Amino acid sequence: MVENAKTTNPELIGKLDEKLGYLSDLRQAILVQDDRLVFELLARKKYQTQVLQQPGQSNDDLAEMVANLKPQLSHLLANKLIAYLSVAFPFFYYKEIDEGVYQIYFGNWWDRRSFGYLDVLDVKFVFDTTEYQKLTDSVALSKDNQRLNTEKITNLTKQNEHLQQLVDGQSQRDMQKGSLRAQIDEVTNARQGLFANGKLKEQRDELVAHLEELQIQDEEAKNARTQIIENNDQILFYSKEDTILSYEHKSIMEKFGDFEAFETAVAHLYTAYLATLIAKEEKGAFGDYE
Amino acid sequence: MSKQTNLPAGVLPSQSLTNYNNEIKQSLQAGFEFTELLSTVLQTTSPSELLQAIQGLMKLRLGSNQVQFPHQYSTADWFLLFTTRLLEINQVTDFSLASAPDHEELGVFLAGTGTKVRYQFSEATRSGAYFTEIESDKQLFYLDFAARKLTFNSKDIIDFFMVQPTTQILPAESDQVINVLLDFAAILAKNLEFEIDYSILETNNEYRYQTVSAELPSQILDKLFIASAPANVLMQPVESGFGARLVLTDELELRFLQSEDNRQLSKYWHFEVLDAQGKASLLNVLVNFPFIQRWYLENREVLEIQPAQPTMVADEVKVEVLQPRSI
Repeated sequence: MVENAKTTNPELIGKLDEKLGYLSDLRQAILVQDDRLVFELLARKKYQTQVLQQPGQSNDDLAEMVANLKPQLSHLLANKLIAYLSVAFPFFYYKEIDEGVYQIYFGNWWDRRSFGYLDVLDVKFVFDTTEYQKLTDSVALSKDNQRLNTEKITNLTKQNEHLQQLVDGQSQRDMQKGSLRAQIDEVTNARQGLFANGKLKEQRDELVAHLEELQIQDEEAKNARTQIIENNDQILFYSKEDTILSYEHKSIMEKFGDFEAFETAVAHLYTAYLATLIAKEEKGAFGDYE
Repeated sequence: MSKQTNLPAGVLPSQSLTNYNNEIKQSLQAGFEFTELLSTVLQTTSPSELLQAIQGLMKLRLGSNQVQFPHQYSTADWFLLFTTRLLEINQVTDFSLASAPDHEELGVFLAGTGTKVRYQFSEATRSGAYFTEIESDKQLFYLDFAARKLTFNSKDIIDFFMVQPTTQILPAESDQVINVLLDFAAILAKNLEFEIDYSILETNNEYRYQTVSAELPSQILDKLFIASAPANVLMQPVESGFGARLVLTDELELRFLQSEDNRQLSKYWHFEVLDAQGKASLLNVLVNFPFIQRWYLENREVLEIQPAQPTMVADEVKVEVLQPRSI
């Protein structure tokens, strides 16, 4: 019966054997904690082309079988990977928010930013694009001794100075308004007289325009206090962001010397990590990072 | 028949002037007692004898219609004499007692502020008195004989060392003055078993300097974070609970956090000052780290350490009166 099936369906049996072999290899690799082999088994083509730099052959159809085990596999492989990363990128911290899902935090300072995710199975940082953009922008600006929010803070500060002047100028405006009203009355009365002429009307319009201008300023001054407080909150928010960005930039510089080196290291994380695993394997030392 | 005289009724000469004599006698007796007590104060090497004698001097009513002692020292002066004698007995020499040249009044200069400012006791009653800097009228501590307690006054201490505009006091000078005050407090505790409320001067690492606030505007911590960066101090979240820690030097750390203890009803924010030698107080931190001091003073209405004022004991009646806090 068995003999029959093998001869009648050699192709199918072969495929099943291949699947069994794959699962058995993966099982064994996990048992002996051979993370390198696990990575290879999960994405053979990537491993062969990028690590071995050979033409590769995809095993995606086999890897597909364990797709629903990804959370557990990720959790397992994260152990050594994060230990490695804590040396290679000492400023990143990770929090497992769900099985095998690792959120990245940048730094250990106050109100550090959540910076994206660590894709363990792909050995790749998936940075939050908005946050990463802010960092690259601030790095570019730092070449001119500028910070990301310098301009915004300057504008808000100027606005506050202007608002403060409006508030401070209230009593002076009140005096001016009084005097303008008196003058308007005077001109109005004169106009009603015999010698009313165009020049007086012109003068009156000018006085009224000036009065209206002061009244607009009064309106502005009324809301100034609230606006100043709101602006101060904004300034604080931007200053904090600048402070955080400067810490981020500083920690990258301390480890990598310049930002480009950091970007390169991020781009080559997979090959660098796998190379490390290979090197450990050759020394015959597994689990060094544990 | 008895001889009629036109003499008025009189007293027997032997019984005359007795009240007069007694009054003088009593006054002289009091005067004698006074000199005995004062001699003890000046000569004793026993702290408890000193305290007893000083309290005796305070109780003594000197002078009567018949015997006048025109030149007398005040209760405040007796407090100062007690303080300085106690330091002297314990071989502390960082002060200089000064006497007014033309009348009976004592003052003291302390190492650190030198002759810049002078200190005395004020609002003195037999129960207690405030140790006060004269120019600024800042009351640095309340010495309470009735409750045998010394209470430092955080609010006035901060005002005196950091806020007052007239006399600039350098950090090193503050440290020296504070050391003298702490020495005195330690001696009181050791020699006479006084209770000490160190408040902002507490150096115990475990101590929680409780602020007046249960709720903080969220920006307060952000402001400290922003201010810490230019000073090259990294502000971090605390490992457990909610709050911040700042490692100021290799051996000194400041923490500012919300009290977690659920058994306590109070959920006030508090400071902790941790140092390797257990010698630093919150005041040391404020004095020596300008960015923290600026931040503290700018947000004082929520960060003030409580109790901001010492607990006062009314004269003779032992009723605790809590001073209203300025908010």
